[in-house]
Amino acid sequence: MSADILLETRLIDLIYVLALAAVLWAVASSGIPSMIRLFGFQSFLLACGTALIARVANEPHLLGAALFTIVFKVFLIPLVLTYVMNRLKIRKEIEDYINIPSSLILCSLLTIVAYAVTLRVIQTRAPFNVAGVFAVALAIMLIGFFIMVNRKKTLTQILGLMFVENGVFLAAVAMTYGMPLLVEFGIFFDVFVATLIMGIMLFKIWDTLSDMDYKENL
Amino acid sequence: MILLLAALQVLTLLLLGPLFSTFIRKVHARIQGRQGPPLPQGHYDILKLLRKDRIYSVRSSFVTRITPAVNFAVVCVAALMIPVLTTTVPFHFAGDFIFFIYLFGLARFLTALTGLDAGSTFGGMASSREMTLSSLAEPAILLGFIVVSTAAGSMDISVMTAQLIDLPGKYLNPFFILTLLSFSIVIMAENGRVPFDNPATHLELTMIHEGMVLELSGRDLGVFQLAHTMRLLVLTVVALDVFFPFGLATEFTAYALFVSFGALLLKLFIAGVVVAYVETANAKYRLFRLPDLLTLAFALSLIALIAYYATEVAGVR
Amino acid sequence: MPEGTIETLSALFITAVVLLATAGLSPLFFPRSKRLAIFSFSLGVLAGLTLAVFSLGALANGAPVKFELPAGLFPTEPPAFLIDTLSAFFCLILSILLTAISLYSVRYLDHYDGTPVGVLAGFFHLIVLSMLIVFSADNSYQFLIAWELMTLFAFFLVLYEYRKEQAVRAAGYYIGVSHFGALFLIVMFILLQKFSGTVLFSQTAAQLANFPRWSLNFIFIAALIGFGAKAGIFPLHVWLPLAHPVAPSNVSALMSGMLIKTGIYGLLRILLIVHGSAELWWGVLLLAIASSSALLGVMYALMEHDLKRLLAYHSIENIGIILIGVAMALIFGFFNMPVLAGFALTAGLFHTLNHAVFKALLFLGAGGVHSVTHTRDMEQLGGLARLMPWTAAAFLIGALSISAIPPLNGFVSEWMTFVSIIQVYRIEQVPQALRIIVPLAGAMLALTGALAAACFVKVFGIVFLGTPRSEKALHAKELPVSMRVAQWLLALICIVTGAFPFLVINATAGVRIAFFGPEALIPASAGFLSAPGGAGTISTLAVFGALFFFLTVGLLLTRAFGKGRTSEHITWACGGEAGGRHQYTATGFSKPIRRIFSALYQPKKQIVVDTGDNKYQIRSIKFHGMTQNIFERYLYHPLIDGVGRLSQKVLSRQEGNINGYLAYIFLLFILMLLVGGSR
Repeated sequence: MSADILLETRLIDLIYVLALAAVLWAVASSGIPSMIRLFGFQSFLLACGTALIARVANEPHLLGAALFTIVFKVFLIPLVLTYVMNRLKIRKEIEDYINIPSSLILCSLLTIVAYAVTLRVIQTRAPFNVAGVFAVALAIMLIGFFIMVNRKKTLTQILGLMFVENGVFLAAVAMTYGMPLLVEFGIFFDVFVATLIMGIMLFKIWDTLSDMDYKENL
Repeated sequence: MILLLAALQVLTLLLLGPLFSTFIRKVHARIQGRQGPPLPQGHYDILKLLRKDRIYSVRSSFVTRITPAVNFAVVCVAALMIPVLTTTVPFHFAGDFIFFIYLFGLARFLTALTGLDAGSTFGGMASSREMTLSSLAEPAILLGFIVVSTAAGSMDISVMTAQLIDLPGKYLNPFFILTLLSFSIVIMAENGRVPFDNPATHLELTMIHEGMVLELSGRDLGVFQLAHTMRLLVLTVVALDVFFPFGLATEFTAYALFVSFGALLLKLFIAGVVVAYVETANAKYRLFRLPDLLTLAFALSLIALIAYYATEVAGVR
Repeated sequence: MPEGTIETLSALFITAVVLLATAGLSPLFFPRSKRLAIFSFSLGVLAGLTLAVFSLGALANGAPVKFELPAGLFPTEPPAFLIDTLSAFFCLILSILLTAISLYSVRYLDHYDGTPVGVLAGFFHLIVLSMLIVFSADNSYQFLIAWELMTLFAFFLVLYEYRKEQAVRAAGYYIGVSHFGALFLIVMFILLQKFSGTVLFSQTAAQLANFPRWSLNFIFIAALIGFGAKAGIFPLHVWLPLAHPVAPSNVSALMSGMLIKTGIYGLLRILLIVHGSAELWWGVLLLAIASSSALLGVMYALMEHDLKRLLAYHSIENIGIILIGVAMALIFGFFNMPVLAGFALTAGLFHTLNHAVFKALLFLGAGGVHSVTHTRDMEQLGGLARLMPWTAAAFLIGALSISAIPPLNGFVSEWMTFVSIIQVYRIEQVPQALRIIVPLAGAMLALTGALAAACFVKVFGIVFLGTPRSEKALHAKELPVSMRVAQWLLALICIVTGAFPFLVINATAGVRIAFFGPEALIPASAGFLSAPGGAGTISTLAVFGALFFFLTVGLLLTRAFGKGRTSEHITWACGGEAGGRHQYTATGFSKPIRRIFSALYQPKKQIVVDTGDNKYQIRSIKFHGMTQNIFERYLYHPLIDGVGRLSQKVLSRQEGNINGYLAYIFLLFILMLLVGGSR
């Protein structure tokens, strides 16, 4: 731990590792509201981290990306998901194929894979810890996928997809300092619309299947 | 000199142990709007138990008879391996962090056996749960320590503490924070605090720690309680020393010791309040939720370890 | 060293060999004679003591003891005996086990009245003799012959209770896997001879430059498979939990304690020759295999309720731990760090000694329990500590040692293994693969240690504590004196090597130096053991002392002072009668762990409710729980089926026609001419 690392770099490292911890905590949760809250918290962390990277790497357009993250992922998308959850009165227990402790161990292994892959690919370190952030991004992606695969309720799977998207965004920020602002806005809007559409589809499926037992799987 | 320090450390922790536990109970009570027990209550309870009669089960063997003494011995020796008032540790030549953690294994092994000794169902239940949870908690804390020791370049706890005192940037080190998180979870688990175990429960089905010592009574229980409260204190102190080592005396003068003692009391005060708050804010989890939490601690430690080795250790930075 | 030391040592060695040969062969002529069997075991004790003196002398001497048999007696190169420090160390372990187990066996034979105990005694000593030759062989033919004999004699003893189907199946697996490994060993030895021109181990290392790269890699792989099959590493471990439980307990103790260590010896012997040209992936591969073995071994052990099978799985775990040390030694050796490499190697060697001692102790205890209760099923035992206190106490020491509880010997070797793993950061430029794999191995080791403790709390608690769970356990009584002495001998070694690790460290100094040169030193004095580079020190002696002191204080507080009276009463069971069946079972004890790791165990359960005539009155409920061994199901069974089908096809070619066979021999002859003549 050499003392000459810039404060911001350290802060960036810390923020992204906490984001990883957040997604792991989500794997450990069995309640949808807490998963949504963790998603919001993670997105907030990502936004702060992006802002810091904007400062460190001198890329002011990233501040815009950070702002979009807050608006969409910390507020709008969790709002939509909570609304869907309440309308469908989905029970807060979540079923899965692999139980929580085993899936936590599996996710640790996935994180290790992410670090292993990153080590082979990335060598640079300046101006901030690119390798570390990329590894975390990859890990969040993998864990998000895992959530989608492991859980049975559709709403949780949507959350998994959201985590994957967070991971992709983070990877983009780490490797290429994000993308042009307009593209970023477009992506965020797409993700938001996708969530809306998925929510609407859930309503429709719910209504159609309201007499059958399949709605338990929603 | 070392002998004096050793005696001082053991006595300090011996006295502060029951005090710390009672303090947590008191804060817990105050948060809930009650008065709570007077601070010396912990000591009173132990003294009361020492005067009481005791009963052994006809089924129990030599294990029950020696366990309280072994627990006491283990905690006292462990107290010698950590920095309490100074950065020098009396037993630094005798044990590093691995020894420290595994030493508690001795106490745990025999206590779990005591649970099975009387041939009662509840004891067996408690032993089973205790060993399951510790099989996750112990590796988590061990891995966390490995991260810290690799960073400090030594496995000796006193050297680790001395190094960490001069490292202000450590609080922003992500692996440090992860380790701290997982440590906290483990310490709560190891000492049977809510949400892992309710120390005040009367229901045997919900007991883990209490269940193993259901059959202890009288002097045995008194000594065991003393050892148990000391254990919470020792683990808290080692966490405080590793993560928040300011205030520790680096030289052996009366003034430095006085300051260090004051700092210790302050840190314990804050830690006690935090623990009480966490206990109040959570209900006890049902048994099969506990492995989730502990596996999370283990996962965090594991990731911290691998990430640390992958990105920081020799040849990269 | 005084003159004539080598002669004295050689004489001791030959005495031991003669004693063992006598002890081995004589009972075979009169298999039903129990007296002869007892006499044989007494000779065994004597041989053990002789061998112990020899080994200690050889270790102290430093220079290797060697002699050859006269050349005229043998068609090819004569057998050559070379006992260097590596051999001497393993001979020492062998001698300890031989003494203790032989002493134990004298009265253990009572359990086998009516069976041909001469066979038991004879083959037992013949196994030991073959192991001795394996350890002292310098000639690879000699080594192989002794190796095969060792396996063969052990196979006979696994079949000792041949009427049981379990035993037959186990023996089949055992011989199958052994020969699979032996195949690789033969090829390996052929390669060694081909490129070095000599069959003598001591002279092969000098020819290392003649070996092409591919041959060295192949030799390593072949050694790993061949010796690993004998040692029981994953995935060649399947025979272990089948074979060790069905053999008589003294044989199981020998097998788990020593026979699998011959695999370690073989691997180390080959590594001694080739490690100078080792590659990094050797160490990494070994590390991966070792840590998987360790973790899987302990996890399957947790699910067992057959006492001996559980111990067998723990052997797999501990072989894994030994090999973690060896792997780290290879890795540090690759980076030319002799101090750390020597430390890691010593960790492996120390654990070899420790495991041999406490595993034998545990098996002897289990055997004792079996002999008085006639069951290996933990679910039927309980409360034995009150009926067999000496055995229980010895078993407790074994259980504490194997769980790496300080300050006993198991902790010291596991500590050393951990230190080896942690110190990987001292390598100047740690390559990427190591950054991930080594800490991961460390995490697996940590998990293994904790799970092992959980398992042995279960074992000791269910078997010895509480109250008997069935009729069988009620009739237990304490074992005869000689059996108790044997167990306590081993227990005392656990305590002594724990308190004074420097004894073992100094004993293995020669091996370290042979491998890594004279800089491979470990600072270890009477009380202390230091990690390399001043990273940390432990002193088990100091902790023993401190524990003793505070224990006395604690005992005074609990037993001496105070006014309260002590009384005894029955255990409270909510007002009802608390029978043995009200206690926790072994299956129940490990249930939470089964749940956590359900991805590995794939547990299945079946609940059968018997209600008789009246639907509302339940007569009994049976719970049947099962964990699946996914390696057996997905790896072994398809493999075995495949081999079976292949052999069917080959079988169909055996028409019984002489001409056909002559044709095959003719073809082979032509082939040999073509291949051999081209040189």
